[in-house]
Amino acid sequence: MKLAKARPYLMIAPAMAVIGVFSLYPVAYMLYLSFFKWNMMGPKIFIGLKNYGDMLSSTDFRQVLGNSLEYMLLSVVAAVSLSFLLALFLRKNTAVNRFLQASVFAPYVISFVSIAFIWSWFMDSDYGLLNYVLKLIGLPAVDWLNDPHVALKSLVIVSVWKGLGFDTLLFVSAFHTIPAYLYEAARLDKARPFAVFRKITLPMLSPTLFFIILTNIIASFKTFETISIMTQGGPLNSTDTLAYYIYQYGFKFFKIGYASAVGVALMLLVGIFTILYFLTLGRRVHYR
Amino acid sequence: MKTSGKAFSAIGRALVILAIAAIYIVPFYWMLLTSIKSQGDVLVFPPTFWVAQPRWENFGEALSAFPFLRYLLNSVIVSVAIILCQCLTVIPAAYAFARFSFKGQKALFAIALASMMIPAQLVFLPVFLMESRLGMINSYASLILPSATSAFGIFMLRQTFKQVPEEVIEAARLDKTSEFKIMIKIMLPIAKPTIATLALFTFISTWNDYFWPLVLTTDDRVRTLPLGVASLKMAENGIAYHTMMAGNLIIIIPILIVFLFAQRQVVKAFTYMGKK
Amino acid sequence: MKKRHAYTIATLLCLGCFGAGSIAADTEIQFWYAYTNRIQENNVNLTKKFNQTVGKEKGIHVTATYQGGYGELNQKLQAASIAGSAPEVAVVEIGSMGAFARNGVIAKLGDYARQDNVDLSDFQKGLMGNSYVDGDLYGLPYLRSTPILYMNLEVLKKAGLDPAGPKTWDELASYAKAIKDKTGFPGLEFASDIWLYEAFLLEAGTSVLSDDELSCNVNTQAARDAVRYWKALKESGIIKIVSGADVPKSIVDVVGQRCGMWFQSTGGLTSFMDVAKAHGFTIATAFMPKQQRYATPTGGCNLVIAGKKGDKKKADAAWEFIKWMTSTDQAVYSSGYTGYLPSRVSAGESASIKALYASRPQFKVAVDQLAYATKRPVNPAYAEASEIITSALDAVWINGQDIDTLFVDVEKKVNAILRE
Repeated sequence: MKLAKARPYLMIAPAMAVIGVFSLYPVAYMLYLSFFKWNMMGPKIFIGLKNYGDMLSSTDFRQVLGNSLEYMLLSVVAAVSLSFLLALFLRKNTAVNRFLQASVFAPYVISFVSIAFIWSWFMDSDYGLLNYVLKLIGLPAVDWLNDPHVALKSLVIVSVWKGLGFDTLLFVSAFHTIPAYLYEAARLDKARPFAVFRKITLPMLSPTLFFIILTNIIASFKTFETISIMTQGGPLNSTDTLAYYIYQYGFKFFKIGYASAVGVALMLLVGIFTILYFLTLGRRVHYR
Repeated sequence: MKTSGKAFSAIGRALVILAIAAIYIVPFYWMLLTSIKSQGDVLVFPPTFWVAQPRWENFGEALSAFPFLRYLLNSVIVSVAIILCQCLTVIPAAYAFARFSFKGQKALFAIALASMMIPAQLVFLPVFLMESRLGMINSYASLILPSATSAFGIFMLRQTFKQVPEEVIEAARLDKTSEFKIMIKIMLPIAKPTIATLALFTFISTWNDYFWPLVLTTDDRVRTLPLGVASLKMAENGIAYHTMMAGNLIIIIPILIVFLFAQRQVVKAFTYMGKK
Repeated sequence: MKKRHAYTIATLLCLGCFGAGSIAADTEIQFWYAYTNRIQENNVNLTKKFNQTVGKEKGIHVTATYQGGYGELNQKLQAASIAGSAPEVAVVEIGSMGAFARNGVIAKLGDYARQDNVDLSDFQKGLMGNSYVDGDLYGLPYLRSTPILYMNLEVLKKAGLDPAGPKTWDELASYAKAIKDKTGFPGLEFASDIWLYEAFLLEAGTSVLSDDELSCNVNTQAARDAVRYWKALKESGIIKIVSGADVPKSIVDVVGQRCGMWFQSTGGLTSFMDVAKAHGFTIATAFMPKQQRYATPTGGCNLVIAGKKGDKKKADAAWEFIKWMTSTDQAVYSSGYTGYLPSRVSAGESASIKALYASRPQFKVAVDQLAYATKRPVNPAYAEASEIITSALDAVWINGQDIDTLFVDVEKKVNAILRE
């Protein structure tokens, strides 16, 4: 009897232990550290809310926050719309489509580090292929990674390029699960294409759409490799986002207290977005 | 009228296909090309699209720029160990959440789900400090333990387990089969595809992981391949794109080959996931 | 019978003890260094030589590992120190000595130096300033430098210019213009970085930080005008300034002979000479040109002991290595192999160095310039302050932002950081 009662707890124990030690405890510890001034080597000095004060009054932080939000918006909109369109285009199971799907998917299995290298070479302002092509068609060269107005968008391009295959494949699979009779019925009713989209396609795809938007939002906050390898937060902090900012202050300047405060901010941001998301769009997901 | 319309859409379609192919294949071709050029050939404008004399030494130079074999071994060890740990922690947990009802179940499951929102970039400082105090830094355990479970895996597998019809389990229970045997002989075989999918995803993300090894290792002992590739950037005598691309190619080719062969499996995995 | 056995056993035991003594495990220590090319070769060669000589004698084996540039090495050293895996010996860029010493990452060397009677006065006076922190000795000068002006003599000739080089900022500007007019390439190229900024401010008669290092001078008229001067030259197209992150690109321009002159550390001299030889041109060097005065910061690194505290054997081994690496013979070797300054007076006066200067005067420039050199700031907060200043320099020189508005902000931020 006793064993049967304890059994489920025992079964979830290893997983919950790992989660507790490596996700929950660090978050709590980080919250604790955010009230101190510490460089990991000397003594911890309690400074109350000073880190938060510094953070909120710092123009750099505000820029970083803005960058993160801009990055999230651009990457989610681009990734979702492009993958949807691509899936629409590739949904028939032909040999050409399968080949294209495979090529589009290939970057997903490759490390982001390698992708970042390929694109930093591609986007090199003096010797890169992109600028060469632009010059060929008579357009001016773009300073992809050195122009503060462009750099962030360049990084968005790279991450969308990498993740497109994953999202496209999910959409394609979802397309295949829409029962054909629904479209047949619509055709018989002489429904217009847009109405078909709104009343059949979109609702049927909504669980997948919901999932893809959510994963892209979360992924955008985690962006690190491209920044670390291609721009190091520059030029002029235009590509510094929250995750990289935390890394800089924690691991380069060793200002642990401040980095922890920023971490708390990031967590709140992700949490708020997730809750808002579930409350608004989540309600509109159509489950069968 | 109709034929010209069809021709238009055929041309349009062909153009889109070409565009997609260009966007996705050209970067790889460019990488390939750069990896066999000499530095002088690389840093020219306009760029050249063919190489008269391929410079194979680039590959040797890339391999000797960092301890390639050591890093390769470490990548294998860490990835395999993480997959095993995840199986050991995820399968029982998912089963428990799916087939039992116990106090606090909902709360605990919600906690597990919430942990999916907590990225490495948020918790690395405390984890680094914790592992430093335990003297764990630069050991395999330091890289394996933080990823020893997968909340996403628990979520997905729980779905799968929940879909096993109650009657089958009831019948087995009536036959007086032990709970353990039920799990092994009935549930696991049904869950095999999901587990395989999860293992595949874990392998891809662990093999390619850059961040955890970056912050948790201070020397070469347990460093993995992505860090090796990243180290190719360090060159003061002009940016060594040729060596960088050569090294990149060496890293990418194995996984691309695996992908080419496993393509069917991967697509199946996605179709499976799409069917949530 | 038994007696013979006894004798055999005894002999074997004696041989065993004798043998065991010489096959006792070596003390293994790690040595982290920065930079590649000639500097890397220098470090690797010297380490090998140590292992074969003093190392063999005293049972010490050193493994040298490359760790990137100074910035990367600093960051790795700090992280490793926290994680308990720091190397026993490392090079530390002189501007970071203060931070590491005060954080307990590196060990005091005073007792070791006294114990072994190391002649500290033999080290060049101008270099010792950054080896002491709060009055204690923390490092021995190893590869020390000043920035110098490099010139591609072939390009200068094409432009009809005197190979002795420009002496003042204005002369430099006219040289650069002549080169641009005659060849179409920028006359001068440099990377926007804190060290050159320090040099510019010193040459303009001021300095980046105040004497007590608790406030900065970046917003003074002199400082802003200095930045403005180079900005004007850049905007007229006769010089090229690249961002600090793009230093490799500026070197590509040198290699491709797409610039006539450049500012760089004297530590790159032999690497540049190799490149010049391979591409068919010759290099000359000169003082950093003066505006108000000749002045320059020093640069480069010290050797420090950084390993885990409490392991006396390894610390002693580390000291042996550091002592050997900075002794006169090795100082002579390093200087000749890389172009760095001879850190010891006795090295500078040695026959081989004198012969080197006679045949290749390019090596002598930095040494002569030492007379005008000052130490780099030691305030541990300077590292963070430098990032802010360099960011502003990039903004001004590369992205064209306004100097006066920007530096008011920079001054505020830097002062706040310095006083923390």
